[in-house]
Amino acid sequence: MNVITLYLLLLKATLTSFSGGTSFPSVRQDLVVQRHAVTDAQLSTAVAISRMGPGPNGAFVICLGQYIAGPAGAAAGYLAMITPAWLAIILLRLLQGRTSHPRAQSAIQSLTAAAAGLMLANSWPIAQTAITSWFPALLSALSLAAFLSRNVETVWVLAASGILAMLYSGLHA
Amino acid sequence: MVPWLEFLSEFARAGNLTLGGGQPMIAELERRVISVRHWLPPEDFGLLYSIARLTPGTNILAFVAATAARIQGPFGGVVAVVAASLPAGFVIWLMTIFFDAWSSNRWIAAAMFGAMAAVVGLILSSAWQLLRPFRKKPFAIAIFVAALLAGITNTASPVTILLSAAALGALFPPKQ
Repeated sequence: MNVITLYLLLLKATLTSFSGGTSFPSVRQDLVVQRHAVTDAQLSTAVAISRMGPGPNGAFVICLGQYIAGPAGAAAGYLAMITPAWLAIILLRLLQGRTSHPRAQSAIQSLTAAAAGLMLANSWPIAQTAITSWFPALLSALSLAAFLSRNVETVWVLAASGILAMLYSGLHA
Repeated sequence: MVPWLEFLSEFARAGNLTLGGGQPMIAELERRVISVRHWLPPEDFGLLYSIARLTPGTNILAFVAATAARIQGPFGGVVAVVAASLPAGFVIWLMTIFFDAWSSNRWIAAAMFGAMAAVVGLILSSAWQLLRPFRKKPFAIAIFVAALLAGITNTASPVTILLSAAALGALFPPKQ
Protein backbone atom coordinates (compact mmCIF):
# COMPACT_ATOMS: atom_id res chain seq x y z
CA MET A 1 0.00 0.00 0.00
CA ASN A 2 1.15 3.50 -0.88
CA VAL A 3 2.52 5.33 2.19
CA ILE A 4 0.45 8.45 1.46
CA THR A 5 -2.72 6.34 1.26
CA LEU A 6 -1.75 4.62 4.48
CA TYR A 7 -1.17 8.00 6.17
CA LEU A 8 -4.55 9.29 4.97
CA LEU A 9 -6.39 6.15 6.11
CA LEU A 10 -4.75 6.28 9.55
CA LEU A 11 -5.34 10.04 9.73
CA LYS A 12 -9.01 9.48 8.93
CA ALA A 13 -9.15 7.08 11.88
CA THR A 14 -7.32 9.40 14.29
CA LEU A 15 -9.28 12.48 13.13
CA THR A 16 -12.58 10.76 13.86
CA SER A 17 -11.63 9.45 17.29
CA PHE A 18 -11.64 11.27 20.60
CA SER A 19 -9.09 9.24 22.52
CA GLY A 20 -6.21 7.11 21.26
CA GLY A 21 -7.93 3.73 21.57
CA THR A 22 -11.16 4.77 19.90
CA SER A 23 -9.53 5.06 16.47
CA PHE A 24 -9.47 1.26 16.58
CA PRO A 25 -12.92 0.55 14.94
CA SER A 26 -12.16 2.79 11.97
CA VAL A 27 -8.66 1.31 11.57
CA ARG A 28 -10.09 -2.21 11.65
CA GLN A 29 -12.79 -1.35 9.10
CA ASP A 30 -10.30 0.16 6.62
CA LEU A 31 -7.22 -2.01 7.07
CA VAL A 32 -8.58 -5.40 8.16
CA VAL A 33 -12.10 -5.70 6.70
CA GLN A 34 -11.86 -3.68 3.48
CA ARG A 35 -8.22 -3.77 2.37
CA HIS A 36 -6.93 -6.91 4.11
CA ALA A 37 -3.68 -5.05 4.74
CA VAL A 38 -3.34 -6.56 8.24
CA THR A 39 -5.06 -9.37 10.12
CA ASP A 40 -7.06 -9.20 13.35
CA ALA A 41 -4.14 -10.98 15.02
CA GLN A 42 -1.71 -8.25 13.87
CA LEU A 43 -4.16 -5.58 15.04
CA SER A 44 -4.35 -7.20 18.50
CA THR A 45 -0.56 -7.52 18.61
CA ALA A 46 -0.22 -3.83 17.67
CA VAL A 47 -2.57 -2.83 20.51
CA ALA A 48 -0.66 -5.07 22.94
CA ILE A 49 2.73 -3.62 21.92
CA SER A 50 1.51 -0.03 22.18
CA ARG A 51 0.08 -0.71 25.65
CA MET A 52 3.30 -2.35 26.84
CA GLY A 53 5.48 0.52 25.70
CA PRO A 54 5.67 4.16 26.79
CA GLY A 55 3.64 6.95 25.25
CA PRO A 56 0.00 7.39 24.32
CA ASN A 57 -2.37 4.46 23.77
CA GLY A 58 -3.02 5.53 20.19
CA ALA A 59 0.54 4.53 19.27
CA PHE A 60 -0.73 1.23 17.85
CA VAL A 61 -1.00 3.00 14.48
CA ILE A 62 2.84 3.09 14.43
CA CYS A 63 2.94 -0.72 14.72
CA LEU A 64 0.32 -1.09 12.00
CA GLY A 65 2.29 1.25 9.74
CA GLN A 66 5.38 -0.92 10.27
CA TYR A 67 3.42 -4.12 9.46
CA ILE A 68 2.01 -2.64 6.25
CA ALA A 69 4.85 -0.57 4.79
CA GLY A 70 7.97 -0.98 6.95
CA PRO A 71 9.78 2.04 8.46
CA ALA A 72 8.10 4.51 6.08
CA GLY A 73 4.74 3.09 7.16
CA ALA A 74 5.71 3.45 10.83
CA ALA A 75 6.59 7.10 10.14
CA ALA A 76 3.21 7.54 8.42
CA GLY A 77 1.53 6.01 11.48
CA TYR A 78 3.44 8.35 13.81
CA LEU A 79 2.47 11.40 11.75
CA ALA A 80 -1.17 10.26 11.64
CA MET A 81 -1.07 9.96 15.43
CA ILE A 82 0.32 13.44 16.10
CA THR A 83 -1.29 15.50 13.29
CA PRO A 84 -4.72 15.95 14.95
CA ALA A 85 -3.08 17.18 18.17
CA TRP A 86 -1.97 20.36 16.42
CA LEU A 87 -5.65 21.24 15.89
CA ALA A 88 -5.73 21.89 19.65
CA ILE A 89 -3.56 24.98 19.07
CA ILE A 90 -6.19 26.37 16.70
CA LEU A 91 -9.00 25.32 19.04
CA LEU A 92 -7.27 27.11 21.91
CA ARG A 93 -7.69 30.36 19.98
CA LEU A 94 -11.20 29.66 18.74
CA LEU A 95 -12.89 28.06 21.73
CA GLN A 96 -11.69 29.99 24.75
CA GLY A 97 -14.75 30.38 26.96
CA ARG A 98 -16.99 28.27 24.74
CA THR A 99 -16.10 24.68 25.68
CA SER A 100 -18.69 24.62 28.46
CA HIS A 101 -21.51 25.21 25.96
CA PRO A 102 -24.20 22.53 26.52
CA ARG A 103 -24.21 21.55 22.82
CA ALA A 104 -20.42 21.02 22.81
CA GLN A 105 -20.61 18.97 26.02
CA SER A 106 -23.52 16.92 24.67
CA ALA A 107 -21.68 16.23 21.39
CA ILE A 108 -18.63 14.98 23.33
CA GLN A 109 -20.83 12.77 25.52
CA SER A 110 -22.58 11.26 22.52
CA LEU A 111 -19.27 10.66 20.74
CA THR A 112 -17.87 8.92 23.78
CA ALA A 113 -20.94 6.70 24.15
CA ALA A 114 -20.83 5.79 20.45
CA ALA A 115 -17.11 5.05 20.71
CA ALA A 116 -17.83 2.66 23.60
CA GLY A 117 -20.46 0.88 21.50
CA LEU A 118 -18.13 0.58 18.52
CA MET A 119 -15.28 -0.72 20.68
CA LEU A 120 -17.55 -3.40 22.08
CA ALA A 121 -18.78 -4.34 18.59
CA ASN A 122 -15.21 -4.62 17.34
CA SER A 123 -13.97 -6.67 20.27
CA TRP A 124 -15.86 -9.73 18.98
CA PRO A 125 -13.67 -10.51 15.91
CA ILE A 126 -10.56 -9.88 18.02
CA ALA A 127 -11.88 -12.26 20.68
CA GLN A 128 -12.52 -14.91 18.04
CA THR A 129 -8.84 -14.71 17.02
CA ALA A 130 -7.40 -14.57 20.53
CA ILE A 131 -9.70 -16.88 22.50
CA THR A 132 -9.30 -20.33 21.01
CA SER A 133 -9.61 -22.46 24.16
CA TRP A 134 -10.44 -22.23 27.87
CA PHE A 135 -6.96 -20.94 28.82
CA PRO A 136 -6.94 -17.68 26.77
CA ALA A 137 -10.60 -17.23 27.83
CA LEU A 138 -9.44 -17.40 31.45
CA LEU A 139 -6.61 -14.93 30.72
CA SER A 140 -9.11 -12.52 29.11
CA ALA A 141 -11.47 -12.78 32.09
CA LEU A 142 -8.66 -12.25 34.61
CA SER A 143 -7.33 -9.31 32.59
CA LEU A 144 -10.78 -7.74 32.39
CA ALA A 145 -11.13 -8.04 36.18
CA ALA A 146 -7.67 -6.51 36.66
CA PHE A 147 -8.35 -3.61 34.28
CA LEU A 148 -11.71 -2.90 35.90
CA SER A 149 -10.06 -2.72 39.31
CA ARG A 150 -8.13 0.32 37.93
CA ASN A 151 -5.36 -0.20 40.45
CA VAL A 152 -2.96 -1.97 38.11
CA GLU A 153 -0.77 -0.70 35.29
CA THR A 154 -1.78 -1.99 31.85
CA VAL A 155 1.78 -3.06 31.12
CA TRP A 156 1.87 -5.42 34.13
CA VAL A 157 -1.40 -7.12 33.17
CA LEU A 158 -0.20 -7.69 29.60
CA ALA A 159 3.18 -8.92 30.82
CA ALA A 160 1.59 -11.27 33.39
CA SER A 161 -0.76 -12.66 30.76
CA GLY A 162 2.18 -13.20 28.39
CA ILE A 163 4.24 -14.96 31.10
CA LEU A 164 1.30 -17.22 32.07
CA ALA A 165 0.83 -18.13 28.40
CA MET A 166 4.56 -18.97 28.13
CA LEU A 167 4.33 -21.21 31.22
CA TYR A 168 1.20 -22.89 29.85
CA SER A 169 2.95 -23.43 26.51
CA GLY A 170 5.97 -24.90 28.33
CA LEU A 171 3.79 -27.31 30.32
CA HIS A 172 2.04 -28.53 27.19
CA ALA A 173 5.12 -28.90 25.00
CA MET B 1 8.81 32.98 27.90
CA VAL B 2 10.00 29.85 29.67
CA PRO B 3 13.55 28.58 28.89
CA TRP B 4 13.15 26.20 25.91
CA LEU B 5 15.24 23.36 27.37
CA GLU B 6 13.23 23.24 30.60
CA PHE B 7 10.01 23.66 28.66
CA LEU B 8 10.70 20.76 26.27
CA SER B 9 12.13 18.49 28.96
CA GLU B 10 8.90 18.72 31.00
CA PHE B 11 6.77 17.64 28.02
CA ALA B 12 9.28 14.99 26.92
CA ARG B 13 9.36 13.51 30.41
CA ALA B 14 5.58 13.38 30.87
CA GLY B 15 4.93 12.08 27.36
CA ASN B 16 7.63 9.43 27.18
CA LEU B 17 8.26 8.21 30.70
CA THR B 18 4.71 7.90 32.04
CA LEU B 19 3.09 4.48 31.60
CA GLY B 20 -0.64 3.84 31.62
CA GLY B 21 -2.00 6.02 28.82
CA GLY B 22 -3.52 9.49 28.66
CA GLN B 23 -4.98 10.15 32.10
CA PRO B 24 -1.77 9.50 34.09
CA MET B 25 0.16 11.67 31.62
CA ILE B 26 -2.34 14.52 31.89
CA ALA B 27 -2.19 14.24 35.70
CA GLU B 28 1.62 14.32 35.60
CA LEU B 29 1.71 17.33 33.27
CA GLU B 30 -0.82 19.19 35.40
CA ARG B 31 1.31 18.52 38.49
CA ARG B 32 4.56 19.62 36.88
CA VAL B 33 3.41 22.57 34.75
CA ILE B 34 0.76 24.07 37.06
CA SER B 35 1.49 22.88 40.62
CA VAL B 36 5.31 22.64 40.58
CA ARG B 37 6.55 25.08 37.90
CA HIS B 38 3.62 27.56 38.08
CA TRP B 39 3.90 28.21 34.36
CA LEU B 40 0.10 28.44 34.18
CA PRO B 41 -2.62 29.36 36.72
CA PRO B 42 -4.71 26.39 38.04
CA GLU B 43 -7.90 27.81 36.49
CA ASP B 44 -6.43 27.20 33.01
CA PHE B 45 -6.59 23.45 33.54
CA GLY B 46 -10.35 23.18 32.86
CA LEU B 47 -10.01 25.05 29.58
CA LEU B 48 -7.01 22.99 28.43
CA TYR B 49 -8.66 19.71 29.44
CA SER B 50 -11.86 20.61 27.57
CA ILE B 51 -9.87 21.52 24.47
CA ALA B 52 -8.04 18.19 24.69
CA ARG B 53 -11.41 16.39 24.85
CA LEU B 54 -12.78 18.40 21.91
CA THR B 55 -9.74 17.82 19.70
CA PRO B 56 -9.87 14.67 17.57
CA GLY B 57 -7.15 12.08 18.06
CA THR B 58 -5.07 11.27 21.09
CA ASN B 59 -6.25 13.35 24.07
CA ILE B 60 -2.86 13.54 25.76
CA LEU B 61 -1.15 14.92 22.64
CA ALA B 62 -3.92 17.49 22.22
CA PHE B 63 -3.49 18.41 25.90
CA VAL B 64 0.26 18.78 25.32
CA ALA B 65 -0.32 20.98 22.25
CA ALA B 66 -2.84 23.25 23.98
CA THR B 67 -0.88 23.51 27.24
CA ALA B 68 2.43 24.17 25.48
CA ALA B 69 0.84 26.73 23.15
CA ARG B 70 -0.66 28.51 26.16
CA ILE B 71 2.79 28.71 27.78
CA GLN B 72 5.09 29.27 24.82
CA GLY B 73 2.89 30.23 21.85
CA PRO B 74 1.84 28.19 18.77
CA PHE B 75 5.38 27.12 17.85
CA GLY B 76 5.86 25.81 21.37
CA GLY B 77 2.70 23.75 20.92
CA VAL B 78 3.95 22.22 17.67
CA VAL B 79 7.40 21.35 19.05
CA ALA B 80 6.12 20.06 22.40
CA VAL B 81 3.90 17.46 20.66
CA VAL B 82 6.99 16.05 18.93
CA ALA B 83 9.03 16.13 22.15
CA ALA B 84 6.23 14.34 24.03
CA SER B 85 5.76 11.60 21.45
CA LEU B 86 8.80 10.96 19.22
CA PRO B 87 11.03 9.01 21.68
CA ALA B 88 8.09 6.81 22.80
CA GLY B 89 7.07 6.34 19.17
CA PHE B 90 10.60 5.20 18.35
CA VAL B 91 10.52 2.67 21.22
CA ILE B 92 7.14 1.35 20.01
CA TRP B 93 8.59 1.00 16.49
CA LEU B 94 11.60 -0.96 17.81
CA MET B 95 9.29 -3.20 19.87
CA THR B 96 7.21 -3.92 16.74
CA ILE B 97 10.31 -4.91 14.77
CA PHE B 98 11.52 -7.11 17.64
CA PHE B 99 8.20 -8.94 18.04
CA ASP B 100 7.85 -9.30 14.27
CA ALA B 101 11.36 -10.78 13.92
CA TRP B 102 10.86 -13.17 16.82
CA SER B 103 7.23 -14.08 16.13
CA SER B 104 8.22 -17.61 15.00
CA ASN B 105 10.02 -18.22 18.30
CA ARG B 106 7.84 -20.52 20.40
CA TRP B 107 8.22 -18.55 23.63
CA ILE B 108 7.71 -15.13 22.07
CA ALA B 109 4.67 -16.45 20.15
CA ALA B 110 3.22 -17.83 23.41
CA ALA B 111 3.84 -14.52 25.20
CA MET B 112 2.14 -12.54 22.41
CA PHE B 113 -0.75 -15.02 22.41
CA GLY B 114 -1.21 -14.37 26.14
CA ALA B 115 -0.95 -10.61 25.64
CA MET B 116 -3.57 -10.79 22.86
CA ALA B 117 -5.96 -12.55 25.23
CA ALA B 118 -5.39 -9.73 27.73
CA VAL B 119 -6.09 -7.17 24.99
CA VAL B 120 -9.65 -8.54 24.73
CA GLY B 121 -10.09 -7.76 28.44
CA LEU B 122 -8.47 -4.37 27.87
CA ILE B 123 -10.87 -3.43 25.06
CA LEU B 124 -13.91 -4.53 27.09
CA SER B 125 -12.77 -2.57 30.13
CA SER B 126 -11.98 0.51 27.98
CA ALA B 127 -15.50 0.40 26.53
CA TRP B 128 -16.92 0.21 30.06
CA GLN B 129 -14.70 3.05 31.35
CA LEU B 130 -15.86 5.24 28.45
CA LEU B 131 -19.51 4.48 29.10
CA ARG B 132 -19.43 4.49 32.89
CA PRO B 133 -19.84 8.28 33.47
CA PHE B 134 -22.95 8.27 31.25
CA ARG B 135 -24.54 5.00 32.40
CA LYS B 136 -27.47 6.81 34.05
CA LYS B 137 -28.10 9.07 31.07
CA PRO B 138 -30.76 7.49 28.81
CA PHE B 139 -29.76 9.53 25.75
CA ALA B 140 -26.12 8.43 25.98
CA ILE B 141 -27.18 4.81 26.57
CA ALA B 142 -29.42 4.99 23.47
CA ILE B 143 -26.48 6.29 21.43
CA PHE B 144 -24.29 3.51 22.86
CA VAL B 145 -26.80 0.77 21.95
CA ALA B 146 -27.38 2.23 18.48
CA ALA B 147 -23.62 2.40 17.82
CA LEU B 148 -23.15 -1.15 19.15
CA LEU B 149 -25.91 -2.52 16.89
CA ALA B 150 -24.68 -0.54 13.88
CA GLY B 151 -21.14 -1.79 14.54
CA ILE B 152 -22.19 -5.43 14.89
CA THR B 153 -24.40 -5.40 11.82
CA ASN B 154 -22.01 -3.24 9.75
CA THR B 155 -24.88 -0.95 8.73
CA ALA B 156 -22.62 2.10 8.65
CA SER B 157 -18.90 2.88 8.80
CA PRO B 158 -17.39 3.80 12.19
CA VAL B 159 -16.78 7.35 10.94
CA THR B 160 -20.43 7.76 9.94
CA ILE B 161 -21.58 6.35 13.28
CA LEU B 162 -19.29 8.67 15.29
CA LEU B 163 -20.17 11.80 13.29
CA SER B 164 -23.90 10.95 13.52
CA ALA B 165 -23.55 10.55 17.28
CA ALA B 166 -21.81 13.94 17.60
CA ALA B 167 -24.47 15.62 15.45
CA LEU B 168 -27.29 14.07 17.51
CA GLY B 169 -25.58 15.16 20.72
CA ALA B 170 -25.19 18.73 19.47
CA LEU B 171 -28.78 18.84 18.21
CA PHE B 172 -30.33 17.47 21.41
CA PRO B 173 -28.36 18.79 24.39
CA PRO B 174 -29.73 17.80 27.81
CA LYS B 175 -32.12 20.30 29.36
CA GLN B 176 -30.46 22.41 32.08
